[in-house]
Amino acid sequence: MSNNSRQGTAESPARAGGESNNVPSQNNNLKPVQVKLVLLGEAAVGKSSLVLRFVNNEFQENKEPTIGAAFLTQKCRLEDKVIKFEIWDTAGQERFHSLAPMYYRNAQAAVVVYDVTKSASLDKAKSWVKELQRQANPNIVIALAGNKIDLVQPTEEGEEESAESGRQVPTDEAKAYAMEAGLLFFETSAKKGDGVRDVFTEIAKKIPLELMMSPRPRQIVNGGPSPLPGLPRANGQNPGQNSGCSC
Amino acid sequence: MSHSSHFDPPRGVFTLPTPCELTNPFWDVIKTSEHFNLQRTKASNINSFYRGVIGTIQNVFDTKQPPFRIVFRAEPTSTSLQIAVSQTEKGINEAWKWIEDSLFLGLTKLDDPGEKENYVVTKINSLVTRQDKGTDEVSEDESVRAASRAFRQTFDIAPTERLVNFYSCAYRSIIQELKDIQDLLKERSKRGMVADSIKVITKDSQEHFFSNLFHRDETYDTLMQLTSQSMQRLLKNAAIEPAPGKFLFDSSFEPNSDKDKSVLKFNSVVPCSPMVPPLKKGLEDQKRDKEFQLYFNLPTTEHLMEECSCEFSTLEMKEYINGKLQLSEGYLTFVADNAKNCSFILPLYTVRRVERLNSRTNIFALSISNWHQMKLTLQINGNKALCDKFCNTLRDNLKQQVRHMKHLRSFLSTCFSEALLVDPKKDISVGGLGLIFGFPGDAKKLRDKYKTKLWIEYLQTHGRNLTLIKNPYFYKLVRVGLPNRLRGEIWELCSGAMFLRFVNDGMYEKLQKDYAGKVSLSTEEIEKDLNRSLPEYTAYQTKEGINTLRRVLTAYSWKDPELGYCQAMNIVTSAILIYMSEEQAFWILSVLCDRMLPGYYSTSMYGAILDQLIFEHYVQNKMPVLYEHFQNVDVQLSVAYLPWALEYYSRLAILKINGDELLTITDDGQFIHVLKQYFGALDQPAHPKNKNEKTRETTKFNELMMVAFKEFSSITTESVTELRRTHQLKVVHNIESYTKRGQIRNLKDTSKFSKNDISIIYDKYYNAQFYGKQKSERNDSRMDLNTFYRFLGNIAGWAKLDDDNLTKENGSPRDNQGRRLVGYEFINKLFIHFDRSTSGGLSLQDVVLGLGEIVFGDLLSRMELFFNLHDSDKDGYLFKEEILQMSESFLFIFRNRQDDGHLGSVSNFIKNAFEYTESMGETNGVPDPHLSKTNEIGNLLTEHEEHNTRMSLPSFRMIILADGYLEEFFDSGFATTFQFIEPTEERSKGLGREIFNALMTDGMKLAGKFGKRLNNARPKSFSSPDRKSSNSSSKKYSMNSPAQSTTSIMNSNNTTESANDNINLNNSSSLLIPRSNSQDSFVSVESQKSILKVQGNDSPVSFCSEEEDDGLMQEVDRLLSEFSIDEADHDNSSALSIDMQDNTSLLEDDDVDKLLQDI
Repeated sequence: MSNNSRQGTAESPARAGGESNNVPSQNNNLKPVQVKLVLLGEAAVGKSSLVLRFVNNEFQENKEPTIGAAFLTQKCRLEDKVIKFEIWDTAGQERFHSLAPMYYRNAQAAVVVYDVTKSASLDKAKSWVKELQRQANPNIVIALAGNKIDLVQPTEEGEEESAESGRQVPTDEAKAYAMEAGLLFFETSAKKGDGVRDVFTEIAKKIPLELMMSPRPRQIVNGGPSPLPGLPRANGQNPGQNSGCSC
Repeated sequence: MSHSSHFDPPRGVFTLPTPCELTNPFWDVIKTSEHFNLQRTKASNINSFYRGVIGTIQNVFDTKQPPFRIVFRAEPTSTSLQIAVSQTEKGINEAWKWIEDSLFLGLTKLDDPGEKENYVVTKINSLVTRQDKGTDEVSEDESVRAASRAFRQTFDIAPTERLVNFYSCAYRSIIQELKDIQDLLKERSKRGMVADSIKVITKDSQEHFFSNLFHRDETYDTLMQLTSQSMQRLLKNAAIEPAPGKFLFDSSFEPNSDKDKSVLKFNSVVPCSPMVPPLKKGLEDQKRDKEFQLYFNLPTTEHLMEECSCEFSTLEMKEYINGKLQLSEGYLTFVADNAKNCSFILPLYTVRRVERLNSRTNIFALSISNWHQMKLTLQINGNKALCDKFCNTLRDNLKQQVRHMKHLRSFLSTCFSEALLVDPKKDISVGGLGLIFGFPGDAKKLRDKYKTKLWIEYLQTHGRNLTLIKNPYFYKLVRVGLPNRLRGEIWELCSGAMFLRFVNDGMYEKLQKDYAGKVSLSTEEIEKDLNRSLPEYTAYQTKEGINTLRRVLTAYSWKDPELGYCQAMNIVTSAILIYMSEEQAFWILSVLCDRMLPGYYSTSMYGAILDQLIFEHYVQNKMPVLYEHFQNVDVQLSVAYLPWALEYYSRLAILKINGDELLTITDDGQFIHVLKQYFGALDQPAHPKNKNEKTRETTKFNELMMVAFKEFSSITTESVTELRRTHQLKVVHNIESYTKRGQIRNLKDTSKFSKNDISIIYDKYYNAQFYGKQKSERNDSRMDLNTFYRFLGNIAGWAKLDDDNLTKENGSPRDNQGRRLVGYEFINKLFIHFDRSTSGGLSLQDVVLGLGEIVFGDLLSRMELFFNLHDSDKDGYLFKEEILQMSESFLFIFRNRQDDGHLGSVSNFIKNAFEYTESMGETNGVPDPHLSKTNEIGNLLTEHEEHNTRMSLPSFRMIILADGYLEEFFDSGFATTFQFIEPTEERSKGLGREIFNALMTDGMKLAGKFGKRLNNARPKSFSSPDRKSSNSSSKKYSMNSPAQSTTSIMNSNNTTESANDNINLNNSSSLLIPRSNSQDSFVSVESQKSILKVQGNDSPVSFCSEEEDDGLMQEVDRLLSEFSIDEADHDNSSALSIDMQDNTSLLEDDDVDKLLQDI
């Protein structure tokens, strides 16, 4: 119901394109480079909030859970290039897992999010990383983001201890893992906006943009995972039904 | 049976007595006696042309008759009866012999031919029913019986699988598991004269064509139905983790929860219960019932019982409407020939009075009045018999429903419509959160009051809530819009949730009470989402609203723990809760998840995936150009799918309207973008520049609806259901393969197995699970012991256990029982060993590691493994009984080997093992360098021990290495018994069995000479079945407590006291896992017993038996017991050992000879 309209609003600034505060208007004439980016991670770690912060620079306290996936776009400028992020924000609940390949197929970047106050969410993140490294585009740039650091940041001097005790994933531990697995690493707060922009700019820096200056970056059709279970890429799978089409 | 027969009747030969022609040109008489004829078909020995003709005739009429049969000749007046058939002469001769033995005597005592016939019929009937309990051989149709018998003989299949129906077809024998079938197609075959065939595609994309003569469509339907059932089962299995809605801490709660479950399952719509008899008849009924339930949204407990055409009218209606009247246990339903015209569902518990109207000739009419005095008149079209039958059933069913009537009053008080009709002004508290927090939208603008008035009028004349009659005006009113306060009730009524709520009165409260404070994975997920469900509605900003939502969602997750909670349910539920009470919402949610969106919310989300597939199918068919474009630019239709939960035709219409634009897109992102823009502008005019003002007023939404209804009206629920069925197979297999990839990826250690091997292990693991868990709930994804038998049997030939006696031609079941138990014993040990976490179940990881250890180990590691497996108390030594067990394990593993070498080697092994342990120091054995070495080590090891009957690992190694055969076994032989090959190839029938039989013959040769004599000398107690329990209980003490072992001797009635200790141990070891102190062993024993029970055989546990086949086993068994006797009782020259010495002179075989001389 309201889900659709919600996505509609989230989309609107992206549609406005150049007016977004990231991109100075004189760059409108530059052909933007499209980067497909997917967000993965356990339920309620703040994937949608992270995107919402990045795209609309806003935060909703009680964001409805994402069903299936949401799609948003955002342009940002890197040196002399304009990058258009096509962001697939996926649902986190375990049972949506089987739909994920549909969204990370052909993705050039992925942000795997965990919640610094829930150690189990890092485990889930690790398993996502594993899946991406085996199943997704081999050149995919993966960033690991520990969200909700606002919950563990000392707000007042006196509260420091009690606040810090909410943290279940020490920064060092996650960082070490990210190093080992070859991931970008960030800690973020979608609520306050800390570190969110960095995630995307660092990813943009790391992606080999030159290779993708061609308008259709579709070099890895075969390298990607087979699509969603249940959806054979129809060619040849239904003999007799559709013989004409071949990609 | 009181009747004493000298031997058991052969199995699978006798049939229920069936009348037949005695003198038939196709039959030759071979043997004849006073009452019986043994016949053979002419086809089996006449020329090939004749055979061909007969074969064809038999094929065409589906009457393939085995070539041999026995016929009972009744007196000339009555027809003859066929009582036995067989494929082989041997089989029929056995039957003949049994008849001679058992029936002749009785027959001669009877004089009257009728009595004689009765006698034979009773005898044979009881025999057949006893033998074939639970199989189709008791079926009434002889041809089904015959086919079933052939089916079992041809295919090596578990006894739980039953022949549903058979169709002759042009294909050689093949066994295909339904669950592996990926696609079923009706095909027009081009080969030969056969016009149609069925194409079956399996998951490894092999194609099979089945050409069928007459029944293609029927076969297709049956296959379809069966595959759907196994798909449902597969889906349950495919999910890896235990049901999310189950308790996290349930060990203490288990018994209770099972009880609850039986209550809860009462109305859930899981269609995979009927593993009982999926016979063809049952399937047809099932299908019909399902259609009936689906059409009227009735609970799944309803079955269509009566059906007739009738004319229906009420007092208010001016005319009679023709339609179909249907009756189930609890409901009387009517639907007019034109379904939209009129329909009602009348729950029988609302009926107060049924009268048969005075009728003129040939018209049967019923007048039914319900609790609010509405009278329905039904004129049944049909003859008197039909009408009477209908009335009788109706009367019986009404009686059954009386018990529900007392709920009626309290139930009605929860229906808003009642309050509305009694006193519209009165404010009642029945309803949803909207009553307190307000309904969305402006009631005035929506003309809520006016609508309410219209509804009151309708309800007054057309029944209300449970008794509502729907006519075209009803649908019109619905389209105009529901008044807010009535909305919940109408939703509930139309979805059928109201009936569920009525019959499951109190269930919602009970769930709340029973699960108060309980936690599961689902409840945790629910907590995460409670604050994120329609947060803008004021109720969900208060504690009250949140609690309401929590209660409904958690209750549902307890009701259906396999589904648990899926995100999106929170949003749906929070929306419906505005309009209805918690209990109403709970039942609507049930209907939504079970019936309206089957599989959408399941853990595998197969429903959603399935619908995407169907959607793609429609796009491909209806908009081929667009479809091709999407294919070319590699855009996935599915990405846009999930968020729009719309009817297919609306979705198609959207694509259609935006077709031009969509043809320009080149990737997923643009695709979504186009759609979003369109959705954002739905309320805007579709043709703003059109000159016609009317056209300018139509919004894009209106246009969408128009296109949808106009262009895609051919898409009906029925066609969608059909498509679902056909695509389901594909989806399930794709989900399965996805799960498989994920599972394999998540293995922490693949133990050097190749990718392919792992994949096969995975397949076999889940295969075994699939069949192992047919009945049970999916609550543990780990493999239990029983399933492990099956699994291992699929991988290693020696572990294949005979599951049933059904295919046994002449085997003696006792003999097989004995061997099987030893096998179980060894596999049990493996199971415990594999179970690293001692959780009582094996995960895929456990299995991979366990197998890896064996396959990729080396000579030494495998010896150590074997040693440890048998070292049940883990003290680093094998004691006597453990050594004996090990030799049994060897024999078990070797039993399928054709050579004789293993016999000698095992004998040697026993000999060496005991020689060394018992004769320490006084080396009178063969001066073998290895052995003397062993002795030295042994001496060292045993010096400080009183017991000298034990063997350490090093000495075990020495003994093994001294024997080439066993060394080879540990070096490579054992590992190569584990074969990782595709299941289809390996399932070819009966090879192992043939080898086994050959081995048996060899064994007979070897042991035949002395085996039988030995039987006489053998202590009788060996075969007494009631002994085993006492032994198993005493066993673990027997080594250190002589008193205990005496008890066991007493119990076993054994005469040779001194020899007993070891014999008992030896025997009982086949039953009990001798890990005395660990709890595991008891668990395993439990399960073992249940196996025994299932097989309904209490036969003795040991190797020994009187049967000839057993010669081999006897020999070794004897050796074992001999040693023990010798050892425990050197001086006592018992009768037994004297007998032994007699036998030695008869022996020619070297090994055994030497062995005995040594004694």
